[in-house]
Amino acid sequence: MTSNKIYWFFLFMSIGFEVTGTSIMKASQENWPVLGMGLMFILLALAYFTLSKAVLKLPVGVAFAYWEGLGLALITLISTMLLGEQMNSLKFLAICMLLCGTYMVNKGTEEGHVPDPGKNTAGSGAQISQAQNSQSKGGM
Amino acid sequence: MNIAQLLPYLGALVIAAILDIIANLFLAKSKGFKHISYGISAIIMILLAFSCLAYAVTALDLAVAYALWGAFGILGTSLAAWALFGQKIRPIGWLGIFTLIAGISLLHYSSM
Repeated sequence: MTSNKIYWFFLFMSIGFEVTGTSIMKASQENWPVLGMGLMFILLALAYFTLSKAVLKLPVGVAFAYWEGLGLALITLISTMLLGEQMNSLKFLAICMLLCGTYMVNKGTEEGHVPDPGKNTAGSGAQISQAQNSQSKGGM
Repeated sequence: MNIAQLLPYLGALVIAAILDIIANLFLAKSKGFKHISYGISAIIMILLAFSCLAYAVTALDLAVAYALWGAFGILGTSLAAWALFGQKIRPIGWLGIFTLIAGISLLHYSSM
């Protein structure tokens, strides 16, 4: 299980890049729109690159749920605390409902809980060897 | 702003959500950027999606736009998988879909 830590790290890094990029874009929209978009593009490319690494080992459904949940919570915090957007109890309730709804839809549709064993053996073998490769390359 | 004025911005969010779904499919196919062309296509789709988001947040709050985007994305993915690929949705999934629709409506009502 310890070998999974690096993939969780990739996932959290990815969420961090995405939230930072999106917030910078919104914050700079009035005064430096081009710079803001440029920074957002760079951060997003990093975000999705690290995400693609994270889902090599983590289940996509789990990664998606964390991405959506943490991302939305962080964006809401940043936009009310730093960007001065209005928040009221109804709006807060609505955002919580979207979060719960996303979680329930994920639960209600994913097939990932009982993976097809035949399909997965080949895939996970390749993923593990690739993971070992990238870890030895990174010297971790 | 009334709903008619907001329509182009909401439309941009829907397009952003669709582009994001396609990007995620490509990203899965890239297998951690081993298949580099899928990886690059995914990133191009993502940049287009976020450009739509950037347009949407010229009129909408970031928190609202981001929440709507996530909801549109998951609604689209689950309903398309159900309608086109015959994926089964368990009762909790349907409850989730109704919660999302109710949440979207409430978000609209509360931010006007």
